[in-house]
Amino acid sequence: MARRPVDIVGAGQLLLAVSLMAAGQLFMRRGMLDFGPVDSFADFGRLVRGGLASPASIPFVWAGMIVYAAAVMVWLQVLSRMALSIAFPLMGLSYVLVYLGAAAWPALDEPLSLQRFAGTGLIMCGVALVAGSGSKAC
Amino acid sequence: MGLASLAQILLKHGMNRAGDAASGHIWLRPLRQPLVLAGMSAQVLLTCIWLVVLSHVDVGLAFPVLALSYVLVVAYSALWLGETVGRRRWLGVLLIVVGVGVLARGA
Repeated sequence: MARRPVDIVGAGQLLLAVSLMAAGQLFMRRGMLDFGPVDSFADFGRLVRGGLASPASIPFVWAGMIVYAAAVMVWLQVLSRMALSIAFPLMGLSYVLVYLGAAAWPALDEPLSLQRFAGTGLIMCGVALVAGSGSKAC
Repeated sequence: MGLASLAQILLKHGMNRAGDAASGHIWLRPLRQPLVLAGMSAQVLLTCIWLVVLSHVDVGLAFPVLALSYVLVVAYSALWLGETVGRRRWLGVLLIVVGVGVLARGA
């Protein structure tokens, strides 16, 4: 694939895509906290049928899915501007954003711990290595 | 909360994602309708499964675990497609697995 230089618009779009992706995850978690744990097929049916029949019953879930879809659209724009080998590893930023966002949003109230920080960081670096090495063996 | 079943759900999700990524590869070849349809229905199904996962687990824990799908894709391409996987990629795989292990221990 021909490499294009990284331009400011592309960088902005990349940040937007990553942020939207993280926001979508946070919204979906928030929505499922409202809904409660899905422990059985009955719960699952209630979630799907209820969610389709009246989207307003699970507003955060729908918001999350729509935001996530928007992220995918922006991501496609990013791919048309940037080399995949640069853009793909940077998607790992979304792990950090989700981690920090989930800790900062009082409704989610997830703990900040050294252990989670380390685990998330390792995974982010791993993704950067796997995604960044492209198709050629190195 | 059954941690084992949780791990199973997550693993299943990751495996499905790997399948998804594999069909994405084929997508780049001339479009074949059944595969596109299969990919899209897989996506819908996965979203539903993902919501079930999110109803049980912190998103800060569950989301990074999705990175296991990279591990499965690398393993798939190395073992079944016979692709050469470089040292850098294996190192990445190792980091992801260790990272998920660290998160799982804290859960």
